[in-house]
Amino acid sequence: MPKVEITGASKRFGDFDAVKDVSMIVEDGEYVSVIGPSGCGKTTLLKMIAGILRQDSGEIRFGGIRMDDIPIEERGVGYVFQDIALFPHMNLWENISFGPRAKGTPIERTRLVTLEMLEMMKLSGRYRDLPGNLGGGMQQKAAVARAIAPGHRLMLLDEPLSMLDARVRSELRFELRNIVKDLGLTAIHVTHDQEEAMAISDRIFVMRGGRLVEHGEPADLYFKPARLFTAYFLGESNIVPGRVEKNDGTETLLKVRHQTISASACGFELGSKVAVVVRPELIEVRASDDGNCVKGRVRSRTFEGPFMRYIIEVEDHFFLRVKAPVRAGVGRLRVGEEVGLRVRPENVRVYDFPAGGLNKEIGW
Amino acid sequence: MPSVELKGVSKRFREVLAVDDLDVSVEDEEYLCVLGPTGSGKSTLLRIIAGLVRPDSGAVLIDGSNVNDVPTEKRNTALMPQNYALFPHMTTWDNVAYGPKSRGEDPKSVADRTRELLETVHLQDWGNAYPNQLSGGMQQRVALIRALASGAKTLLLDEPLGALDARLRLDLRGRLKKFAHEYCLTVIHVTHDQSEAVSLGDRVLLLRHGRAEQVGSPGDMYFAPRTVFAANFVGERAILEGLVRGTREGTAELELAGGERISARGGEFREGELVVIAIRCESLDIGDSSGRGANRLRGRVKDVRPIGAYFRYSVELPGEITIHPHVPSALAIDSPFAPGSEVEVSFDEGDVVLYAYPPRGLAVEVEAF
Amino acid sequence: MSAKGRLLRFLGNFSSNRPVVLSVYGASIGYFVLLILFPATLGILTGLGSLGQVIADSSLMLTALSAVFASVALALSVSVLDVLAGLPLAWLIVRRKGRLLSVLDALVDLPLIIPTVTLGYSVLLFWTSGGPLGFLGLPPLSPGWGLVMLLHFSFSYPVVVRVLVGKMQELGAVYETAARTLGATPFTAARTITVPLLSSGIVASFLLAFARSMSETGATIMVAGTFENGPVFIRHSLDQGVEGPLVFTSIVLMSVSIAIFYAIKAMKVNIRTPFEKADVRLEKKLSRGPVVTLGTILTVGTLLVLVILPALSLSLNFAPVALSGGTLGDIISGAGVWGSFWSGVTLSYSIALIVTLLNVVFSLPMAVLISRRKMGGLTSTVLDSLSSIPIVIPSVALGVSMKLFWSSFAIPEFLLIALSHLSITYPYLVTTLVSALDDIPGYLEETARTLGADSFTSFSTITLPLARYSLLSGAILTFTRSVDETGATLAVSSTLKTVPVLLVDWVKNPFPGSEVAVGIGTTALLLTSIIILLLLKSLSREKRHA
Repeated sequence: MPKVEITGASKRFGDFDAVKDVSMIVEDGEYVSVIGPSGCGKTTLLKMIAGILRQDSGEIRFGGIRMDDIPIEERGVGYVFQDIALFPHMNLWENISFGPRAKGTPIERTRLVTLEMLEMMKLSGRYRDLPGNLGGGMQQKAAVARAIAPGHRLMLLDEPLSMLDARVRSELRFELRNIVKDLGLTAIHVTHDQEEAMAISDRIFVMRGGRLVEHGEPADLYFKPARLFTAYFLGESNIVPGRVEKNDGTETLLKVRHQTISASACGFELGSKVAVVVRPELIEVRASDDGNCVKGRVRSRTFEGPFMRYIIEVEDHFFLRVKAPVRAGVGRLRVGEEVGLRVRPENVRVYDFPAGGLNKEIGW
Repeated sequence: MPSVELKGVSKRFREVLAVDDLDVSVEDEEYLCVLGPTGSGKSTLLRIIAGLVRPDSGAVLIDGSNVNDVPTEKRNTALMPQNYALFPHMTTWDNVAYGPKSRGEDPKSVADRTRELLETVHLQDWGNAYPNQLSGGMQQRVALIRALASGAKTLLLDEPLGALDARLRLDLRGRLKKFAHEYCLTVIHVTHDQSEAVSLGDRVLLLRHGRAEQVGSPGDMYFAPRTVFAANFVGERAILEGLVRGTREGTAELELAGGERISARGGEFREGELVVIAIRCESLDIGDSSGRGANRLRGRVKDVRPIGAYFRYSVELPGEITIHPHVPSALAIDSPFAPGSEVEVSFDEGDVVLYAYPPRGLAVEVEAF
Repeated sequence: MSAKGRLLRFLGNFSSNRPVVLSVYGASIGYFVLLILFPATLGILTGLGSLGQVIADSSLMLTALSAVFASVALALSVSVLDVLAGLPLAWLIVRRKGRLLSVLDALVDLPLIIPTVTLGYSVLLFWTSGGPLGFLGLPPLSPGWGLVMLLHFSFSYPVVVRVLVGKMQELGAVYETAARTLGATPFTAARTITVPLLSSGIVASFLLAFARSMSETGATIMVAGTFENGPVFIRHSLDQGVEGPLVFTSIVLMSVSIAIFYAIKAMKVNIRTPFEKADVRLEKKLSRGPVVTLGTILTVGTLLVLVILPALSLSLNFAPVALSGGTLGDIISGAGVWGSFWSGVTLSYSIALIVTLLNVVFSLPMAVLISRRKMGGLTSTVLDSLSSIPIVIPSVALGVSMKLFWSSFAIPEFLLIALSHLSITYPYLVTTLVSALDDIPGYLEETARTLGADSFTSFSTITLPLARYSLLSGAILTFTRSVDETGATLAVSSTLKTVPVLLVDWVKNPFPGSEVAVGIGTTALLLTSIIILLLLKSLSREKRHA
């Protein structure tokens, strides 16, 4: 599938701007995700790419060719729906072979393709089952097979896993990526689950309020997000207000309440108010008398399987969330214990303090 | 005395046995998470406790007395379905006041209590709003105080976080537990998300096909799952097959499919026995050769994915087995191992749990779909 | 606590009391069985004695049987045409948005509300001499089976479209969209996906059209000419006062109708159109722009020409005459024939009111029984099927049966008419209520109960308010249907005449000025119907906003 180019796409419903001037490029063979909170326009964007909705302005091109006047059925795009949408009156075989049959593909070729798809999804034994007799995960796999069968090179996935059990989700997400990569397809996967996007994408596009906020490779977006919203939306973050105390090229120091913290280099002037972001898992816990640490007291702890989550009170109404891996031999902190917290400067990110305040920017 | 108890409860719907001879006991003010895949009977369990479904056999006891014949409205067990079931034709105020009003309580005290509760969840300005004007998080708050207002002592939550965005789900988890503590409620919280169950529950009950697979503290469930199904369902683990080659003082030596040997605690197994090996993914360390654990396996990195708080490696071992070490990001950023590199995966003996090979085969126990 | 509160609590306490609850359900079942089911089906059996006349006379039997056959042939062919023409229009209304189509959507309802006598008369005028056909140089139709088919199509087509639109909206667009993303043209997608998934809706609408056609009496009599289907033949027997053919035809008509109806229902028809035989290129062309526009024009045109225009032409014809000085004065004072018109109006509306009230009270528990399966799934299905019987049985046959059943009880004619109206409107109300209750998710009431409300309180504070718009529109439809009822009333009434019966009389037994009188009378009915339609529309708009 040649590359997908979207330029300045916008869509409005009544007086609601669902998508505002979004531009993106997806290269051939890439698996990208579009993430964002509910209502951010990601599904609308996907439907415009498929041709289900028509954009009000802007261009959508596949391999340089404009798609505006090309109806859904001729765009050659596979679509996987959030509610699966397998045809309830047809069994798996008929569902998967639907696309080839609708195009008038010769019977023998249709049969071959359908068998191949069933085989690949490990559903060969169930080809005669009606969708209702399969579990959610298998249904979605069948739906993916159905979307690929007509030979589509671009796959659009609209929250394909959100209706499934957590356990199914955590395994199926990797299968989706493997299938797409094995077959050399291009995929655009929409989801509100940022962990899902991180796990399987080559690149991630972050959307909010109809606009594209930022895009990049998962690790870059996670460890060095350029925008505050990205830092908030991907993974977990401690976000606190601070002020720039020193920024002279050798080191950057921030004043957060009464604490002084070393941060990564930033382009802010002395004295400017900033938003300081530190990820809970990147805060090291040390003894409270260790030098160079911010001191605090453990206020609560929660067991979370691979991690222990602590809420540490540094000052009055200044709490930090810390996630520490549970490892054999490493003791757990007790509530009330005094600890020292340290974080590497490059893991302290600094952003413009939002005009409307932190709550408005990232609150719900 | 346990607050809620089920003794030998069974319920069949046509050909499906939704609940199968279940014994559950929930202590006063306990927060119990009932965990299980869709179709494991968790919702039916809640409805039986609420009195909306009559069990075919067995008894439901609330505060020690058998309530099988007590109608729902007298059980004091408030049910909160996944979509909160706020009454769409009533305002927030009327929704919250519904319980006490239906019981015929004095209007003045009802009004006072409603106002008070709305204030505690910061919704005092939304009394006249209709449910469809509230956000998901706000709807949840209303549903919670509505249950509280009705005087319920037990809260039955059916996937209370399921309707929310992933981001909100994480943020609102804590609030449920705080709420329950503050108002001294007994909570039975049903979910299919094991990370939710493990972080919220005082105890976790794992259900499978209507039967209790295991019940225990989150730590128990997570570190000492008793069956292969439990090991696969709770936490992420590498699940491998192995052959017992010898046992010595409570430690078993096992041979993996590709020929390597590892050791684990498992004195009860005999030589030649086929076993299932489960190792938590975060216990698998990756290094060149400085790993701490006693067990070492050599493999090749096939893929690395950043998940956020950790990196998920795909390492292929001899015998075409792939395992997935989870390495905390703090460590992985320093020394990532690129795809193609040869690495050593190490882990402690103590991080391995062994199981007898399941009679129906391994696939049945670990299949997610 | 207020008096209302105390009453509700009192009732509420009862609802936990199982015997009381059972007797409420028992009463509603009893109401149905004793006042509706038995009189409608068993009454006819008491007339078995007079069958001897008919069986002896073979030519009489032949005439009777061919009348029944004509009814069946007519009903089946009209229903098939309805579905074939209704599917495209329903698809257009649901899929293509646009102002034109929302106007169309509203217009489709019009013939549903128009009393059939009005429709009959307007069809008569529109398609016969004196109507527009003459202007266009086309030969006008004369009363006969062609006109009857047109008439039956007119009033059954909207029913079919309504049901199909409803089912399509329920189904949603996702499956068709999925098919299109897989490469199917809109036509192929609609044909292979939407149509099969609508199978139950298609069958349901087919059966409704079938039942309506089998049942229709008043208007058919107006336009039948020498054509005789079941109801027409029965009317003639009534006129001649012969009981034998009356009973015979009624029994045969009833049995055939019930047999066909339930046979089709039980068949679980799955409509599938083959894929392999499809010509992909042809279907692609069929989906192309100009073709779709042409299709839209044809479908819309069908609706307009066959249904809307005849209905509207009536008011255009007679409004000016009615409003002219002299006639208007006569109408208001009740001079001449207008006296009996006003007594007919009083009779029709008072019966309609009583019938509506009684049915609303007694059908609600029945609807709850069926929808919430209070007595198990099997009972619900049985009750659901049985409650349809009064509309499956052609109304005139039902009237005959009822008359025979109650004849031994010497009940006044007024009551007899009321009972027959009760029977015929009951199924509509139950169906409306059942689907309204089905739409309200059970978990709302369940949650209410876990909050401490007993079953009566949770029902009356949660489910009932949410169903109130459907309840109201069900009541309004019941009222309208009762005013409109002709067939059974013809069979049971001898001296009292409701408005439709009066109008049919005036057509069949003309007097000087009767044409004008009928025109005005039918137009008056039409106007009240339009007011009711607007009332219903505003109710449904309120419902959507609530």
